[in-house]
Amino acid sequence: MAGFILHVLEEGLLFAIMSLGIYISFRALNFPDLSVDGTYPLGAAVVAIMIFKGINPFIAMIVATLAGGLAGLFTGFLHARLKIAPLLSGILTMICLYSINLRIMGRPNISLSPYLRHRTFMTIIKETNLPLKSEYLIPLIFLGIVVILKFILDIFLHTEIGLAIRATGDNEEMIRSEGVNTDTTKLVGLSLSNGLVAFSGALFAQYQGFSDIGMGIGMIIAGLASVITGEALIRGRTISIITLEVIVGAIIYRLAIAIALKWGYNFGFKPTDLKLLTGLLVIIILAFPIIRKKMKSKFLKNNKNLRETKC
Amino acid sequence: MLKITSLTKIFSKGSINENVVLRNINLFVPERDFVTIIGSNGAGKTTLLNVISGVFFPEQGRIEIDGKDVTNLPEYKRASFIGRVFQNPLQGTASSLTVEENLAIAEARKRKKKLHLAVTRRKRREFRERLSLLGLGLEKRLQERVGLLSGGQRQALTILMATLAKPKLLLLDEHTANLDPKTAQKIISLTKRVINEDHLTTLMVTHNMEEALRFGNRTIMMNEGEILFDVYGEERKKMNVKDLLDKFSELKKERLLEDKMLLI
Repeated sequence: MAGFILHVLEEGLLFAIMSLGIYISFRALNFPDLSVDGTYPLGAAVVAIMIFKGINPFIAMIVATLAGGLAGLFTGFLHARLKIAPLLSGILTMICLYSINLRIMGRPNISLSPYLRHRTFMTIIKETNLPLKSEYLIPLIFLGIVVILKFILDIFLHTEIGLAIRATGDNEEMIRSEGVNTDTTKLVGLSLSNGLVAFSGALFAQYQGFSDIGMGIGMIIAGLASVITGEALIRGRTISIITLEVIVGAIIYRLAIAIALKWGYNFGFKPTDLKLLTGLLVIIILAFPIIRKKMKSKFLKNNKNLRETKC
Repeated sequence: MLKITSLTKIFSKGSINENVVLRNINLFVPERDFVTIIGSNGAGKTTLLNVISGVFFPEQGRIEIDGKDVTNLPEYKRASFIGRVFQNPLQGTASSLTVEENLAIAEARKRKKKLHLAVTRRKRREFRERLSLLGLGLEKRLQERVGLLSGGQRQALTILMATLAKPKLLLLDEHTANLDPKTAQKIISLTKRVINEDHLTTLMVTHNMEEALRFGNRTIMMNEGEILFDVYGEERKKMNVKDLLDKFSELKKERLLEDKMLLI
């Protein structure tokens, strides 16, 4: 059971990095950016091929993050300069990246195995001679990375550029009349968002020990599910609470998925039903406010009938 | 200060819905002039302000501010010398940002936004002082989201934001139209005070004829995309709302007659 929880925590923390990226595009910038489905495996592909070629994993992760940022710039360019609608811009980047990812890896998947002497971030953690068992060290290091990223992001969103990005998502007319080029804020925001997503993908590929061309499918929904779950659980308005929401949301989301995978077969679910479950979960979360409202009004109506009969 | 030469703006040019909103407008506004603009709906008042501020680009004509040709300058670049307050109180502020964050954005209007904290302790003190002058108690709500403020409070904040960086030109677009009479009164007196203190050159669109004559030193009436008349000085001082309306119908009749003569 402890192993199960640690595993969920590790995956949740890696997902949280991606969810923070999705928070920037979907919430701060109010830009429904679907390129995430391409930039997540892009990060994985870049890191996998570089590690496979024997390059230092830290350099590989930096390059993977930059590649994600570049892909985000491309989406921004499609929207800001070529005036393509946000949804379509993201989908176009995503579809272009599918082929690019295949070209980067040269094949649909790359396995990173300690038995093949691939030095990954994970093997480096396991090699360290800390008194703590790697079983506990790994989630702790992941937590450290997420906390540092959250802290940097919190500060960034309070800088002048950060405010300009948030204001672009809130009231584009206003921020333009305040002398901000909204094309630039969108480019910066999307690049940052996809950089984080690619970084998350790069970490995840090393964590699971392989990169696969299909690992990005539905990532945008998973990330969005994390953001929405967090928002439903914690209701805060300050930036530091919102980013915390996103992180907690990602962990809870992974927990829900892990429970479904672990005990779902009792109800006839298969591992391949994962995406379906994710989709259903997001639908339920999104529909929840409306269902609650309906139930409330029904409840009130019933009570009203009750009162009327009494009179 | 502001010089507009033969400005024409056409919406949906070349289609059957073609609509000429501004026809050959010529206007010169010297420094420190406070011009009120009146006219019926569709006269082109708001479009004129939007073309001056760069939301739309004109089909024809030239706009100069302080001797500089800004006709093709994008909106965000003109923002460094134009302050604007809109009719809709929601339009001038970002509701998910706090009061002080909105002010920080306005304060940095004239320069490029940088990668350092937007609200510093020094700036917060300065904002608190400026807000307390409004007399709305906003100085105690610096860290509240603007979405929690009332329409009047948001509009007051917008005026402060529009004038914080001392613009060369202030554009007010019926900025009291959506407020209740009492709040509108407050906002108007605040506007007047800010304009007088900072000696701002101002264009104010209003629907209220009485207000148009009472404020500023010059009044322009627009009709169907043209400037129907332009009064200032002694002539304006003697005018009342009835004179204004009489002049309007008189000039309109003349126009109609001219059109008819063309047809005959």
